[in-house]
Amino acid sequence: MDMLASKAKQIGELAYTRESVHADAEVREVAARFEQTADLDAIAVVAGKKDFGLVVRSRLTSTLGRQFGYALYARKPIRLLAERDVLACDVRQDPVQVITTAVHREPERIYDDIVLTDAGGYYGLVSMRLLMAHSKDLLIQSMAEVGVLVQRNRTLDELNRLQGEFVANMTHELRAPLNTMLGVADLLASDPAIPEVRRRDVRMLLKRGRDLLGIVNNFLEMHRIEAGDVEPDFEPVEVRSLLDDCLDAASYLSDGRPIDLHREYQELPPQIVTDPVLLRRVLTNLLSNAVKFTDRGSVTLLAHGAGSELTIRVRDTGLGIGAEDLPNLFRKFGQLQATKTKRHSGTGLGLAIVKNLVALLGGRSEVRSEVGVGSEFTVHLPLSHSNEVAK
Amino acid sequence: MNASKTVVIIDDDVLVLETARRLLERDGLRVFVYSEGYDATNFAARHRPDLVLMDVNMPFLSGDSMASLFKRHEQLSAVPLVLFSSNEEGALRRMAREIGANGYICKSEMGAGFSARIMGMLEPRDRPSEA
Repeated sequence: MDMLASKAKQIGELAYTRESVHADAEVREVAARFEQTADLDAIAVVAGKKDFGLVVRSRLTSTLGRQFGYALYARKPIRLLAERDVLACDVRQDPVQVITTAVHREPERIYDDIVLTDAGGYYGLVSMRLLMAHSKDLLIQSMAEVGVLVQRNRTLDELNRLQGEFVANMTHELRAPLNTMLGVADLLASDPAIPEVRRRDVRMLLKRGRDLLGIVNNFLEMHRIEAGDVEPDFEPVEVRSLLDDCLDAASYLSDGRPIDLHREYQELPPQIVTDPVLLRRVLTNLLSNAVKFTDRGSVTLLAHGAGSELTIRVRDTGLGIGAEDLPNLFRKFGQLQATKTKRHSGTGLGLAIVKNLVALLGGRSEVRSEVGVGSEFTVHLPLSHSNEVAK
Repeated sequence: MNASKTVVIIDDDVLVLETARRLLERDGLRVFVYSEGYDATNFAARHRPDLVLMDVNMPFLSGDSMASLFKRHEQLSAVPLVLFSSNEEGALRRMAREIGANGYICKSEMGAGFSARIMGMLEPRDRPSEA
């Protein structure tokens, strides 16, 4: 057997054992086999023609070595301990390709034997340990690279997680004083003891304060989405009133710019099964964007039910988005370079949040746009979830 | 119309209490504020307010234990209980449902439509939501 991977044409030539045990064999027989054959790193467990798994020596030893481990498993069939999620490849595959795949497995599994198959059935095993010993050049180089990358990747993941947590804590802390400040500003803005000119100033504070709260909320929301903390809570929701509420809320954002807000509902189902909190957040984001980027003209909220879907569109006659910007639109921090102006500040998180929330609701989102004409964001949502049927 | 309606607010943040109180008083409600749950519970049992607005993250007696106290108490079980928090909305909604509260309000609404929301909750529910 030539162990030099570089000389072998097919991975099959590198097989070091063709042994296997039947899935019904007792665990103690397999343990005995490992004891007798020191070279064996693993044994294939075969249950049927194309049905096989792998028992790895090191993990079997550790399982049986635990308290009561041997007593518990000795007379049980080995199928209980066989791992089915193994790297398997056809004997005719290119050795270099297979070994590259093998060294890219999770670090704990890199030393597991590779299972060879012939016509889908078990053929033999390739030992990573023997490859290590005999084909150092190829392997050590790959392993070193993988090791460095794995380590770097872990560091980056950890850094990313810490940063996310920091932002989340920070923004949560920012929210409490901001809420009170906005409450006080709201009181002042309607206080008849204060002259109207000054009250206008306070309304400005209130507006900018709400913008700030929106930014803070978006950061928190994005963090929660990325941490997998957002779980939709489905219930029957009255669509019309939810849509109306969102549109009413958006009307306050126009700041006196000449924008007409329209609604066009067609064949609206009375109820759909969805998460009202998340859907409201989606629509609020889309509508506030539409109002923000429209100087004059209109913003229209369209909704119609068809088949098992509710389609909601937010159409504006605003700046529009260039074709080159469309692919990045739903990405985090993807605020457009081409159309970005100082006047339209933002976190660039809104649409990334929309896309993620719509997906959590079981729907999909899309956009059509033309520079100088306007944009149309569409959200397709299922009318119901699981077994429930909205009628 | 709501002139004689009474609302009790319980929150351990005095600034929140003060702001919320003034926002509701501006719209003609009678407001009583408490920074902890025991006195508030006694008051509510004696005076049966039209609504109790309660922070969920309080020391000593947390919002959810207060809520279950309310629901078991003879004089309090009929008093509408609304949770008040700066927690994330989805979590707050889930909590309100789990402990049987009548609703919830996010603290971020203090700068936008806070008293309108409370007024809405005080309206008699004579129109059942029928699809």
